[in-house]
Amino acid sequence: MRLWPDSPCTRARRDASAMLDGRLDAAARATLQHHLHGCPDCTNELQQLARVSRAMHNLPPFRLADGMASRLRRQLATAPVASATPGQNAMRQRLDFWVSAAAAAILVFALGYWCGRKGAAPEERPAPAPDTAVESPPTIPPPRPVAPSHAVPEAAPAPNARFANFPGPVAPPERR
Amino acid sequence: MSAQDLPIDHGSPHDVDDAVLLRAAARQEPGAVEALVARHGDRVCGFLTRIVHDAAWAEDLTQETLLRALREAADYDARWSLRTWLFRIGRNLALDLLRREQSLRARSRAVGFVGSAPPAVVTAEHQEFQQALEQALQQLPEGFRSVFVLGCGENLSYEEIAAVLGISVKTVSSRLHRARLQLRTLLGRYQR
Ligand SMILES: [Zn+2]
Repeated sequence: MRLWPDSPCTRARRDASAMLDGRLDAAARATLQHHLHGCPDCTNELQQLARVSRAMHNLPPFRLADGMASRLRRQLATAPVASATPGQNAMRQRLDFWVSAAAAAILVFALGYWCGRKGAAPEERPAPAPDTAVESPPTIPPPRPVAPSHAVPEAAPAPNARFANFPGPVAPPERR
Repeated sequence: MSAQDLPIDHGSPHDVDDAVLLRAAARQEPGAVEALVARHGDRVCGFLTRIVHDAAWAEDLTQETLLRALREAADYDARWSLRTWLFRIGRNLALDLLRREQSLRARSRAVGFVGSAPPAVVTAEHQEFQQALEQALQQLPEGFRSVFVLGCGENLSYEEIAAVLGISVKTVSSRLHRARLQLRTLLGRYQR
């Protein structure tokens, strides 16, 4: 909470950037312009801020060295994109999860069966217990694998090994 | 005709919608990866160079950014411009890299204008000012620098900057203003 109202100059300087970016509403812009007419200091400040912004805009553009596209195509050829259709990635991951879960259940069942045959008399064979993995589905969807299934295999050349463990892109937040 | 079926006009890549181009490049259609790089590579690299202050790193990061985008093309939300998404991926990669390379400041590799195009005919004074601006940018905290570069260099809206950096629009507004004030002070001797 402010005890004293801002002076016109304080307000003008606070609004200077918003003015340069076209973010001031008509009333605030009119107030600022009215102030600037009679205040050379604030006018000077606004001009300096504008100059800094213009200078940034006018910096010479960067130019990538040649060969980026062919390097990318080589990398894509080594580990092609699995899916370019929205939704398919999530579906594939869910399918991967259930296939893995079923495989695990079968393996545990087979192991239990084998141990039972070896250790117990046929009539005392324990009931197979491992179906729980199949019968109780997770309440939350399986997490995205840390290393996607289409990651570059170990043996493949990894031109950007520095980034091997970086997190994937993050979806932008909802537009307001 | 769905957007997906739109033809790729390789002769004028800017006529093709970004989302269509991204999907075509992910499918490795002829010329699409080249068009994607031509359209966005320089800008992404310029932004990343100003984050990591190293041209070679920025180029590696740009390559990784585009590769990530191609591999995760299905996740692209076309409500945002593709450039906004690429900047966001690239910045996350760059910050990760910087976290690992704490000794960035101690590195001897000079950057300056390495990686940027030779400026058009400019006066020595103008060139000196541009160099001073590049150096002054490096003195800003990364969060302020990125806001300023995206806002004043890339003309992104406050909303787009907020999306790239994962901050609020209000924070964008205040950081942009403070970045301008700091740069104004740092470049004081060039201000007439
Ligand atoms: Zn004033």
